[in-house]
Amino acid sequence: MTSNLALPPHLTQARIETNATKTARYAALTADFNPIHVDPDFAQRTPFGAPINHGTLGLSLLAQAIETTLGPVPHQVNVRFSRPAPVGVSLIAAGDLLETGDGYHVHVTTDDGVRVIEGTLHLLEPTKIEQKESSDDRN
Amino acid sequence: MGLQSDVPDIWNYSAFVEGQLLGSTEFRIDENRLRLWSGIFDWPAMSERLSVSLLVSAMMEAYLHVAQPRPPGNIHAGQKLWLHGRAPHLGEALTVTTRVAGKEERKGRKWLAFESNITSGGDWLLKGEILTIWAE
Repeated sequence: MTSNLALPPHLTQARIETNATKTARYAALTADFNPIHVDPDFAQRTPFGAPINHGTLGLSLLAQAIETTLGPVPHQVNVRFSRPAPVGVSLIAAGDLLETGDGYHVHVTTDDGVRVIEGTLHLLEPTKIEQKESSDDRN
Repeated sequence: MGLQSDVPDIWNYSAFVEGQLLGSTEFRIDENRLRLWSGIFDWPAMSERLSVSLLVSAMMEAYLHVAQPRPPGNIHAGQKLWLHGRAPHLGEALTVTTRVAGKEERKGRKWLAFESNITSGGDWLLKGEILTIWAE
């Protein structure tokens, strides 16, 4: 991990308004047609009561917030999908600089403040990437 | 997309072995893929600078192709990503390999971790670890 970069205190937010059309597009993009995401009748019979967004839709939005703020830098993200996000909500990806200064507490939140994704981002030294590539070559 | 996998009748928890290669998948970042992605994220599809998030969706598509058929009710609980920082470009061919990184039963739940690696030519672009609670 690196600590010699002057990082901004917050990631530039990325936001999308979700809807059934975008969910259908994301299902086609990933070939993930799980009915919990795309079938309102099926979803109504689940504990969620309505279709929920794909988890990696929010994760992709977070990736865009990171690259918009920091540019093309090597990094590691570790998140958990803490809550389902119903189709129709707004998703806001953001992050706050860690006290250690070498990364961010990252999150994706609905517009009413529910955290649906939460975790950490750490920047990686380019040498770590090179070491990883070498390791992969040996495997 | 090209697909190479050794798929059993159904991927129950017992079918997975740690370290097992599930498959290798070939993608191309084509205009249809960019059009879908652009319509979701309101990001110009023909921009000179595409997003690394295209790698995230490619990782998921590859995983869903090789780890199927799956029992209903799996939960995608967590995700780790290691990103080189380089986004793919239009027309670029990607190779995604997916393997079983680990399995563990804890508190009555069946946890599986899947590792994906995305490369283009000799360049490594993404490593991902998909953490799931398996239904059966």
